[in-house]
Amino acid sequence: MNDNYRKIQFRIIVLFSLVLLLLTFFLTIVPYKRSVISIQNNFSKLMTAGGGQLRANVDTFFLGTEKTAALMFSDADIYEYDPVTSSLDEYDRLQIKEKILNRIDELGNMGNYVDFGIIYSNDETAGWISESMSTQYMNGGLYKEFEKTISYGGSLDGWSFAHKGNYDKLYYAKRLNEDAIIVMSFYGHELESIFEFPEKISKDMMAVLVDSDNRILYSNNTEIVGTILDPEISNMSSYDSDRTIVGSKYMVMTTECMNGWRIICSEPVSSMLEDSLRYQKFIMFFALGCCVLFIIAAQFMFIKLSKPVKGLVSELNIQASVDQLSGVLNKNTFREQVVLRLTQMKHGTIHSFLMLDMDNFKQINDNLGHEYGDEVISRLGRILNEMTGFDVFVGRIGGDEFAVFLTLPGNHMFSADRTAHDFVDQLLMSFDRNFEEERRKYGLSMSIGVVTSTEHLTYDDFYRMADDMMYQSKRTGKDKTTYCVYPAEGGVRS
Amino acid sequence: MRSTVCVKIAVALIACILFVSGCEQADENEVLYETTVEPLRLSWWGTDVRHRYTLLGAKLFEENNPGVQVKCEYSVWDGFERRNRIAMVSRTAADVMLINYNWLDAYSRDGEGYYDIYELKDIVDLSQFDKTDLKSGERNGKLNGLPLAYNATVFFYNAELYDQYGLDIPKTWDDLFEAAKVMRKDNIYPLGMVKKHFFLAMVAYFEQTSGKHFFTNDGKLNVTEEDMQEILKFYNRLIDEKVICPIGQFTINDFLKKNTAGIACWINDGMKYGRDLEENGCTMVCGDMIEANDSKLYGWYRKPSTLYAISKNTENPEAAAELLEFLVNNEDMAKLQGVEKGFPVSKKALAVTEKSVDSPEYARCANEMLLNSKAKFENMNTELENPDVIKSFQAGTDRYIYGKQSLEDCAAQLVKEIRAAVED
Repeated sequence: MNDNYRKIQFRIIVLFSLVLLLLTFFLTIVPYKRSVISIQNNFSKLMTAGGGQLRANVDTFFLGTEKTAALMFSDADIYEYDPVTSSLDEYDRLQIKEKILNRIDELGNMGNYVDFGIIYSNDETAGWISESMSTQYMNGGLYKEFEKTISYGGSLDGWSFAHKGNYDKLYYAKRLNEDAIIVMSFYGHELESIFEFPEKISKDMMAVLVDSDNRILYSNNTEIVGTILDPEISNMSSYDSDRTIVGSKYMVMTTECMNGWRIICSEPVSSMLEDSLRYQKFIMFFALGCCVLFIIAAQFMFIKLSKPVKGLVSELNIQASVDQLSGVLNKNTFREQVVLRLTQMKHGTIHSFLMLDMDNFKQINDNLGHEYGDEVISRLGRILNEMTGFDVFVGRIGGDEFAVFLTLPGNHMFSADRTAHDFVDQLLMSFDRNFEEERRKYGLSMSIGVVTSTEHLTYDDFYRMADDMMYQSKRTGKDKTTYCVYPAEGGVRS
Repeated sequence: MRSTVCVKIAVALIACILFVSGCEQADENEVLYETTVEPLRLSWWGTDVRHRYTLLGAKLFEENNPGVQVKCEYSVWDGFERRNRIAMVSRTAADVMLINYNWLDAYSRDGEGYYDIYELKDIVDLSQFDKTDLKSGERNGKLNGLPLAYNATVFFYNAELYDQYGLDIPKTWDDLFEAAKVMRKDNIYPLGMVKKHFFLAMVAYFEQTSGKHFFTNDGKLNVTEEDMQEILKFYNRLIDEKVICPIGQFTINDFLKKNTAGIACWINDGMKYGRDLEENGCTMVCGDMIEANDSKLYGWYRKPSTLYAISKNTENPEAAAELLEFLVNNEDMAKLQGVEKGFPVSKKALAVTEKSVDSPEYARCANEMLLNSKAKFENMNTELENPDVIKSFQAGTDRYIYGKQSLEDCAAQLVKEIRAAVED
């Protein structure tokens, strides 16, 4: 009974805890998931806006360079001059070059250009061609190198990067005439302040300028300039559209500049959700802690509340299973316990079933009254109860009739039968001691039937056979015990 | 009694909660982010090397001074002079700027053109400079600029090339003519120079042979038309005898490609030529200053190579002074700069440079020559770097050597133009 009760109690606690944990899980995870989506949406808007502003600023910078170069077309002497085909003498050529230099002085005056000059197809130069550039192409190839920069058919211009390993410069080239190219260059550093603010959106945000091969043309982290952008980021970028995309590791925003180069801003998702994750962990642990505390408190209260009830239930159980007059098991409980024991015992276990009926009990009732009769039953019950244990069940079958079920040690019938005999002898001695006067005056005694068996008999088999033995004792003169060993080894003995 | 205590505790708790929630609501405008950026503009001219280390220095200064943002403005020398002139006249000059020595007189003859750094001596450690160094940056008793190094036109030669022809490194103009006789069969010129050094070389020749200064101490032209004719004839002879190529045709690559066996340039420029030349497997050496056989004057000048000045219109002189102090005296900046501008004048920077910068032999040699010949090198008259003078001289000599103008007319026009340029 108690085992069942504990099982039910355990199941209730587990179920309750599971429900509570699931509830906590949903109450924390669902809002967290919603907040992640919300953060990502807001972050993407911020990145898109920041990236758009960044592109606008970069475009303004590039456009300024392109317009400055276009102003070289304001003077025909400059854009028509071709030293390869010109018939001018050396002096006039020097004058043209001086004019070009003056023009460039005017146009490039306020810009931080490293190079701003004209390269002719014979590798002559005019204007501001830096010493580093001219010495790097000392043996020729300058014109051919920058001719490759011109990639737009209509405007005959283009942008390039990393000439002769100069990773810190960006170059613009525009065809001036058939044998001349305008070349302008500036340090990527000029973009530093433009790239600085988007990167302040988050400490881990990276904003880079890349070409179509995903080579990093500019980043405020100079160490990565000239390298290929992390494929995990570049694979998420777009080519023909501005977009912001979020994956498992990065949120990536791409926007295309006027010259086809792209600005890619990336933010590690873990960094973006760092605070949220921290709060989420805190909430989870807090909720779990609350949960555990709640379960402990609930268990404590449950125990406190259920203790009196449990006592009451236990008392009722006892009352329901015990015969109130004799204090031994009632008939039904006795049967249940014996049946249970029979199913639990392995085959070959030896049992004895005793049926007891008091002789001349009616004389007691008639002479001393029913109350006394009840007291006799009660006293016999106490005697039997004193003899009960793990291997002994005693029950009141009805009136002055009792039954005892013994599980005997060992697997030898002889010794088991001996034990059963000893039990009966002990019982009879105790009976005689307690009911000496009643025996003497009214002939109170006991007729007992004993069945001992190794066979796997049912309760009903035991009951019937023991009852038969008990009636046999009655029929043959009362105050005796009739033994039966099943299967029979020598018949019935009294 | 017990219930009274409970009530008191409950009331206290409620009061606390109301107070805390009330506090939060009262402060409706919460500052989430605030920063103060103090922009400082820094301008300079130069080549890639100078751009790169100055940009690094500016970044380092920003890191050391959070809240200060250094905006850099830079370009090559060509055009920068005009850019500076526009900035000075329009009162939009950078807070801290690299200036050329002659700009002190061009913009601040009375000392009012730049900020007086003496007023910022609590920030700028002037004890690192000798009095004579400070004097060179003074105008009218005001410290307008702090010199970074001293400079002079010097002569560097390709030692292998001279050895190849069995020639000693030239010491006189005659040595150069002799060298030209040997080298010209291979179309090699003993010397090359760009227009400013060409002008200074012609001035030196004039002063050595005439015993007169090109400009008087008060900045007046001290050259007659006849004198100018002599100068033009000498230039023509240099070209005719292939000592030098026409100045307009000379490029640095001619020296690196061994079309010229020597170069006249600033001491600090020698670094970049030497580096490139040595990459081509040659050795660059520093020669003596070229003199005439019977020189009456030395003819060569020294000057502060460049100076750092603070704009008189700066809105934040203290921050500008901090930047100036960093640029001239900071040890990290000195390491970045090395000897690109020459050996530093600041004692602290010089100590770092001598200890940590491995300067090549020709640079040390040139610097020692400048220090050991202090008595010979006069301080440069700032008019010698007057861009209008140099431009006129270049245009005039071109007209003459390309036959566009007669000797007499050219000399007369040159004297007129130069006089006008200095008297303006």
